[in-house]
Amino acid sequence: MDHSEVVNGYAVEKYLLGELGPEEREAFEEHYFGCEECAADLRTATIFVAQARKELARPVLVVQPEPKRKLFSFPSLLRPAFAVPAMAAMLLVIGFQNTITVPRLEQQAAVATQPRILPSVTLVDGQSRGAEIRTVTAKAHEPFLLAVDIPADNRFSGYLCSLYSPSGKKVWQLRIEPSQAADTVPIQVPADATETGENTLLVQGITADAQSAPQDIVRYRFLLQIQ
Amino acid sequence: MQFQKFDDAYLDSLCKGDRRTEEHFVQYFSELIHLKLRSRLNSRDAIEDVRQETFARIFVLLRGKEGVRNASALGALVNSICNHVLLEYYRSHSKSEGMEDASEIDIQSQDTDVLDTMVSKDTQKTVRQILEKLSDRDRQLLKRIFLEERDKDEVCAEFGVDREYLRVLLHRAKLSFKSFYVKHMASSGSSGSGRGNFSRYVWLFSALFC
Repeated sequence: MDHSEVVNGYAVEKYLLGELGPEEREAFEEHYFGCEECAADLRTATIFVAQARKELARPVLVVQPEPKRKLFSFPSLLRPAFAVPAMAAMLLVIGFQNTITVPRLEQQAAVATQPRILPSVTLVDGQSRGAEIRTVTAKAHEPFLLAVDIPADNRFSGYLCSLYSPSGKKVWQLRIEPSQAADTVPIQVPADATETGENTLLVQGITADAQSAPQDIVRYRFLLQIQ
Repeated sequence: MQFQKFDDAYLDSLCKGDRRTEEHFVQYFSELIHLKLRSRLNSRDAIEDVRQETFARIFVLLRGKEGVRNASALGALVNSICNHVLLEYYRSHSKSEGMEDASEIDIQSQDTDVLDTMVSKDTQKTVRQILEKLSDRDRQLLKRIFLEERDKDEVCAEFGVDREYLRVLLHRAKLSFKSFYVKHMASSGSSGSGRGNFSRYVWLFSALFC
């Protein structure tokens, strides 16, 4: 067995793995006794295998890559440092809901199911400049009614009612159909929707031509007072 | 261990009984004899007996009238005499198993205790790193073969590889370790006295494999 046969044929590995037949083994031994390189190769491989056996016998050979740290894990939620403040905050929320929020909602629900009289103001003759400014006195956090007279006109396919607060800010806008405009239109103004002072309700007519802007018809003013 | 060229000068020094040359000769071939005999003899004492008898005969031959003329054939001569001594040992001990029945080199488990204290930390670390770079499958493959000593064909079938894969795997690991080992031995040789390191190395090798 010459050197190239040993190298190309993995003779060192076969020798260590017991894969050489008797004759091949004899030939290889005869070779490595006279070949520095193969003797060193065999010596190195033997030391490696001996040490590898020891390393492979260890319970955990490879250090596993550190798992990506989660933002939080379930066990961490149970730690006192997190759990105690979280429980305290939760109790506060539950207490607030039971003492404040739920009773108020129950009260509002009870009120909504009962008949009651809402404060109202009738808005007619808006085109009259000298018309007296009507006053409506509403309770805090409660709605009130506007009874609006809309001057009907066949040119319009509908009407827009826009409420402006005393500061000039549009509070809401409501579309009214011509059939509804035949009579005085009652409009409930939601609680806390606007402010105390002189509010303005602008009534506009919508033409069939969708591209043309609504035309102002009448502008009602009323004074809102909150008790 | 530093290899010295087995030339005429070396052979001449050996025949004349130069102490350093004799030391080198004995230590160098002791390693190879140990590697050879491990697969054939189970007893450390038996290995030592054959080794000593081999060298005794070689030195008789070297110092005899005819001597040894071909320096390049020294290795073959040692191997040949070792084979003869081994055969005589088998006959004298009525061994039923012949050389053909021997298996691969088997590092006995008790050697691991020796390894604990003898193998350098660097060697351990290097082998560990080499193994860590292997895939889990390859590590398990080596573990089955070398640690659990399971049947190689069964293991290869279990992992869906052939014997060639196993050879190449061992070959690559060996090359990785060898590159470290050569540097390590070279630095050991240059950092201290050659004789001290030489003796330490021989002692280490003997402790591991004798």
